[in-house]
Amino acid sequence: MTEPLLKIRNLGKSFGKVKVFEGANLDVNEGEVVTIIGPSGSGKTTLLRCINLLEQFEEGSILLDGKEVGYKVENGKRKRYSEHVIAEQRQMTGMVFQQFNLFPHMTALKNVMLGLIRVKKLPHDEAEKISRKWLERVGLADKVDNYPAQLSGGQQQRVAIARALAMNPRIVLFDEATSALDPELVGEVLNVIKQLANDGITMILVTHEMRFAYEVSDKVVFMDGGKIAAIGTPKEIFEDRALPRLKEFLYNFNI
Amino acid sequence: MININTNISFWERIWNSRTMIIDGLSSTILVSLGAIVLGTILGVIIGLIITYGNKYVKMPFKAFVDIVRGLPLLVTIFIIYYYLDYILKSIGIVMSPMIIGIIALMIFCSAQVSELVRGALQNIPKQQIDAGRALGMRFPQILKDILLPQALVEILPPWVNSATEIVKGSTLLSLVSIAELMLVGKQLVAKHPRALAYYSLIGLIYFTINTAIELGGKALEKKISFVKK
Repeated sequence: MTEPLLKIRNLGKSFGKVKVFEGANLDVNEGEVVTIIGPSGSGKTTLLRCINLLEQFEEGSILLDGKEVGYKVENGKRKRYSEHVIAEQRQMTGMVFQQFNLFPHMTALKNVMLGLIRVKKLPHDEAEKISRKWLERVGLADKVDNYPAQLSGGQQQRVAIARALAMNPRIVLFDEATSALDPELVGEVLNVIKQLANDGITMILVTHEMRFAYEVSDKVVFMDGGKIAAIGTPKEIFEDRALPRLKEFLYNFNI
Repeated sequence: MININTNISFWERIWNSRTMIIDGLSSTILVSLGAIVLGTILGVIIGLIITYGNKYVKMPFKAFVDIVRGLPLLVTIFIIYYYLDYILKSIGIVMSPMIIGIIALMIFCSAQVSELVRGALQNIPKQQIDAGRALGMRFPQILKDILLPQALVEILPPWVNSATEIVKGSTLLSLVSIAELMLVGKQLVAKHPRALAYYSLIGLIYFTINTAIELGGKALEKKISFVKK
């Protein structure tokens, strides 16, 4: 068996005195789709942000492709890498945010191109070619010159997905990617994500779309009260529901 | 000798004083332009420090901005004019009044601009920084490509307003004997008993300058604006 692409070991994070989560262990293999579900406040989003090093964490370690990211040990002391190194390590992950977070002063095309030009240092033409290809893949070939404010929420989120994917990350993290959308726009975004999953892209999704999680996941993580309470196949999580808390949680979703 | 020949018309007198007026106008433009350009550069730097600096670094800058914004411009001009002149002379440097005038207005301008910059940057959602970081961008790149372009659009209209305030404020330099347009106006009035006419002319010139600045600002606004909600 090959090494997992992402290895989270005993991860713990607090905001001041408040523990957000602790003792989190998770393996994600290349090509796997992992969804994280659980009640709000259980630490799902923060866990995702730790993987992308947008949050600092106090305990445990994250290994991407066998290499520890975020922190190193120097003279027996745990030290966060410099912003420079962290910026580099972040390139292994891509992130799609709940609020899209597109750059409002740039067209859809420029939004996707920015990272390719500034971070990957690609020439303009090549960056544009890749960006157009990705915008086409998310079904927005005709919207490349639109500004975010001219796009619907679903279209904005698809631009954000293209922006993350164009950087060719090893893992894509989706942070409640459909939670801010009007119900009728959720489908178009989920379809794009499903397509990416079928194409073999490794991803971790925090989501409240249980049916979707059931359909696309290779592995489902149930977080509750700052702990990973259960990890299993969709069948184990959604059908067997071995845990009383999990049963209670899923009951609220009428599934 | 004071010319009291009342047969000469108002416009002839203006024509005869044209070099004085043009010199005054040039000084006003030079002082204002210098203060606006230098004050804006300084203001952006101070604004960035106050927004992103750690609390000890930003303390003196915040104090500076609060003090300058709390003082009437005339008081700032007097303080800079007399203190700076005194300090410089004591170390053997003589600076032209014009330069000191520019410095005084520049300080006023930088305090205004730094507040505009801080306000605009703080209004940009933090998630914009997250989005840049998630792409692997470093903070200086995020600042240059994501934050400042958005802030600039917000800042431009009030900045144009500040620029016209500087032009208007430059009239106060006449009180420390800097030969700008207002002082020229005063000198003309002292020579000829037609205060209203002279001041009207001077006023018209200031109005023209500020209208030009505002039109320029509007044109620039159109150029850099992007479609917003």
